[in-house]
Amino acid sequence: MMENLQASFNKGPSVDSSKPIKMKTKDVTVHYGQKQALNGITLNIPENQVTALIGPSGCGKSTYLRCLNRMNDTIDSAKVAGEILLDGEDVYDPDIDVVELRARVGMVFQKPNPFPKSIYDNVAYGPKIHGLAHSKQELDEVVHTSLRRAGLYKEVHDRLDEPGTGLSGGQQQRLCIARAIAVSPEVILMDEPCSALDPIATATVEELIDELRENYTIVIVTHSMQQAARVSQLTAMFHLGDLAEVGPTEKMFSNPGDKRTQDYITGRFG
Amino acid sequence: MAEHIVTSYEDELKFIIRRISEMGGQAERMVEQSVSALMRSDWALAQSVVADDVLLDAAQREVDERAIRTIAKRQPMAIDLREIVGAIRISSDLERIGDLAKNTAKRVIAVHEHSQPLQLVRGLEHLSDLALEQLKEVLDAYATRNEKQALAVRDSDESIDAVYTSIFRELLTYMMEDPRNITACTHLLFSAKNIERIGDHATNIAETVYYIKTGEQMEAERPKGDRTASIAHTDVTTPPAPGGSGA
Repeated sequence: MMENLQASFNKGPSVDSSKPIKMKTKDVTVHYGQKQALNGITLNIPENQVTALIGPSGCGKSTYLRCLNRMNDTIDSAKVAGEILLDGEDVYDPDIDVVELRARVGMVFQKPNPFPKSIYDNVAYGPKIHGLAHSKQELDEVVHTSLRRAGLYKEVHDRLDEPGTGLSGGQQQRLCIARAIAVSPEVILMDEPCSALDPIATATVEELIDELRENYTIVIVTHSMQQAARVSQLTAMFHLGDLAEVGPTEKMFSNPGDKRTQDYITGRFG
Repeated sequence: MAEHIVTSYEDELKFIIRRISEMGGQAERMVEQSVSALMRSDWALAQSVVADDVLLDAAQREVDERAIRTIAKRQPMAIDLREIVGAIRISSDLERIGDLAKNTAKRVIAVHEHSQPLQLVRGLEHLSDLALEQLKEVLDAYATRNEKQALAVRDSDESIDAVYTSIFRELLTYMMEDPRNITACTHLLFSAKNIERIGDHATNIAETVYYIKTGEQMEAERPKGDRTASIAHTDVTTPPAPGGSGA
């Protein structure tokens, strides 16, 4: 009984420093045209942990997140410099296959964005184009496993051919998570994944994030301080393009070291 | 520190903090008056202490309710969270201090009905001076969020414990000397214990103030100075009975 209690206390936000570093970023700067959005961010993302990025709007947290799987490539004016390594491999190496990179570093967006296809096809799409399944049976297996991991299978197993857009907001977001994990990513980036969801759907997704970190490394951008405190083990506070502070989540929210973090999380500036 | 963007949140926190300061002042006054009533056998003063306790209890409930409402509404973080949790803890310590003062005040009549050695009452006065000083210091430390002052309060609790231990021995001696002293001495003993406990609550408050300010718990528990638990009958020097050869 005591062990169980201890385990459930430990389950919460406590950073495990023994975890290896999955992604290393060093002196990352981003310019949008003349405007500098990130001023040299050096941050390590630990494996199988949830890292939360917090900070006021326009502080650069989403820009930073989008650097991790080169989503900023899609913006013409964006210039990224510095070093971003995934398992020691340079993400911005000209020889790297960006499509493959984005399969390894998946992304879930703020607004659920299922394809206008069936639930099954939404999840099967990635494995199909990446050639991860060689038979219908294998594809079925991947789809079912992904839906199960995303905690959605029970709710949709008897209507996999119905359109994904017909699901509720929370279910759609979990479908997007299932779609992201169907291509067996190593890292999942989440950009405010619960901001369009109601509290119940948010709780389901948060529970899912906690389960997912066993198999994946997660980086989440959130505007909800409580969410960051609940789901993450490591928190990084961004401010005006700088990394103000990074530390174990429990310390960041109870006793932050940087005044900007203190002011932000206690609602003293916006 | 900068104010909150939401002014009503700022107001809620300020209200709770102000209420704690008021409770502190009231608790201090009750302790002072209860001991004074005991010294001067002032039954009217003792009664007013008993009546004041109701107000302190109500204030504690109010702080609790306001704090819980603020937690639910604002989901405070960092320093704000520590302030609110600290307020809940401190108000509970102050409420207990009020109870202890009330208990001392209730003993005024019983003590008064029996003659008591003046020396003992003086010892009790000294003990209460020390406890009141601790309480005043810790309330100052709370008002100014001074963690060093809070540490000093925690560290000087030992002197209260030492005086309490010596009063305990003395009272035992007087009881053994003349059984007619037992009733008064027992009441005085409880009063002394009450005052000693007030010092302990001041120490608790000091620990909370330290936590509010630094976000860290005070290190290592202080050495316990109340050694009365181990005082045995034989440890007390029994004065020679009049005309006898002593025990």
